[in-house]
Amino acid sequence: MAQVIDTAAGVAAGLDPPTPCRVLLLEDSGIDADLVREHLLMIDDHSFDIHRVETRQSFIDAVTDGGPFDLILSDFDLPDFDGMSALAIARERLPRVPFIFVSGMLGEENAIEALKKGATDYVVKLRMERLQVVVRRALIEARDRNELTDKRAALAESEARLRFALEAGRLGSWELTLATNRLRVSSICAANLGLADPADIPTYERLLEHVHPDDREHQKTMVRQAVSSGSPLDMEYRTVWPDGSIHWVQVRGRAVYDKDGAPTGLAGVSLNITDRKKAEERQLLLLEELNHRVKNTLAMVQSIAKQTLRAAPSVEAFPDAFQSRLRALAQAHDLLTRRHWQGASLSEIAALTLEPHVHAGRVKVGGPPVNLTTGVAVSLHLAFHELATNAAKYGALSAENGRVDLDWEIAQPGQTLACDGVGHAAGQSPVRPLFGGAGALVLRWRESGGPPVVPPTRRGFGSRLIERGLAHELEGDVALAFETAGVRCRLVIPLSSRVSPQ
Amino acid sequence: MPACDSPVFASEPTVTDANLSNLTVLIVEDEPLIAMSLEDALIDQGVACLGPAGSVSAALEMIEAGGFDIALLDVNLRGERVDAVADRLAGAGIPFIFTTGHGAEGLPDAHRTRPVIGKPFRDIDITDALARHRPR
Repeated sequence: MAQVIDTAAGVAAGLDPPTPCRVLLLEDSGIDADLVREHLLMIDDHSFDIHRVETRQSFIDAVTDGGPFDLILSDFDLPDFDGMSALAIARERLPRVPFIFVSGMLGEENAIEALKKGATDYVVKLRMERLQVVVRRALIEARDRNELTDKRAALAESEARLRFALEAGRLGSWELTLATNRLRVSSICAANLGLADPADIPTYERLLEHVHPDDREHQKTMVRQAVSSGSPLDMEYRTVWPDGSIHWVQVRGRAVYDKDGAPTGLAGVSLNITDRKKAEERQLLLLEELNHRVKNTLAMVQSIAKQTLRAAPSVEAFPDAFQSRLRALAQAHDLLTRRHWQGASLSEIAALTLEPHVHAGRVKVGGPPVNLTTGVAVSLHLAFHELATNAAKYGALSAENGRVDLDWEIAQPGQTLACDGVGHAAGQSPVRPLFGGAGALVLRWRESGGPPVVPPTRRGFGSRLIERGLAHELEGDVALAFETAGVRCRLVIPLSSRVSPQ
Repeated sequence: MPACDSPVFASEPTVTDANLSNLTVLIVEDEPLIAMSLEDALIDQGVACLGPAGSVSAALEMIEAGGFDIALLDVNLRGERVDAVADRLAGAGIPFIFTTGHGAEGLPDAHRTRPVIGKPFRDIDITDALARHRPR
């Protein structure tokens, strides 16, 4: 109960006298000013705060810096000023404030002129009792007028905000009248269809002309459904722009109903979603590419397993050899992923396998910068892995003082390669003219300081991969020699877009 | 090192009853490991192999040279579609079988009715398909 009483007290406390009405009174006569004051005090429900001025300058000052005022009362004849000039100044500076002449004499002509110039009303001093009615009416009219103006301004501001939000969100807006099939669209909505002028699509039929023929029936069905069921419209369709290009539009809307619940139209927004659609298509392509890569990788793993098994001296030897090759394949994928599958450099690929041995001072790697595509990078990496594994097990890297030199150079077409113990007859192998004008990458693997090499009686996985697989893939010459002093391997790979100097 | 026909997968059929005698196959495949594996499987069955051709131009050259009965054709070689290779084989009346990691969607439109083997495949899938589609 206490709360109720408190609330009631609060309400009672809220019943303050209404805010006084601020009046600017231009009157040189003190007696007349008092008369006005008395009559104003007789008006019910209003209190007045009167600011009286007597001269031209004080009136201008008050209008300019004083106030704000709710009402201006003005004499017509003043010693240094006249009412009509005061009216002109007030209309210019305070157009919303009612202006009433209170004058001893105001001829009919003056009165008409004053009302024309924007005076709200006039009261002659002989009939001062009219002042109450005139002021009361003027204040009510001004309040109503100002409220309306404020509402209009608020509406315009709200519309401007909405338009700004639509434009910022690049949302077009549209409205369809069902009875006439008339369409009103915003300029963004027209732009979503590749049209500069909203007037280009005055009807729904004209809009349909810009919808992709394959999507038209769907468009019509969705619009019909939204009207008949009242469910929100949300659809995507393709549009053919005047230049023939195809773009995607998303449309969201809702049916509009009359007071009897009958649908009269449809209104909503439209959005150009071409970029999103392109991203979606790209994602689908990437998924397809991922699927392809996974399948291909599985097939590679399967091949490695089968060939490792074929070449394994025993079943017990299989897991180690297989796992080591799988790890090498995974390393190559890691490197290529870091390079966004855009390829890799030859020195990066060499370092992947040989870096630990280089650190130990056992392997020396050097050559000019060469770019490899992903496929070549993986194949060369697997080849280096086989050579290094063999060297660590049986070759130079199995002995304390053994070492490996891996170097490469770019050979010009027709250049004679130095005798390096491997290759064709007489140890001389000019770069074949088959390599076109581009020249070739010549890469050498040389082991030394290891135990005497015993040539294998049967070619293992590594030898096959290098001699057959690599040679075929790179369309180059591969020579692998198991010399007593150390294993040597020479690759002569024609330069191409897959193997190119930087 | 002796060849090791592992007993691990002894229960898998390693010999097919299919008729693969006197058959030469052109292998068109850009992944050397997969090509080598295919060769192993075919040579084990007494099938002669040509290739592998790892690019469209290499494949076209080998078709020009001839000397094979049927082709195994990867649908994508180093990012290039093999439509031209399939067209040439079809034009020459040489049967071929697609091998693909893409599924049927990746096939050349003109050759969608050709046999397809998805990667990764079993050896027996290859040998069966070769026996079924080899020229009579």
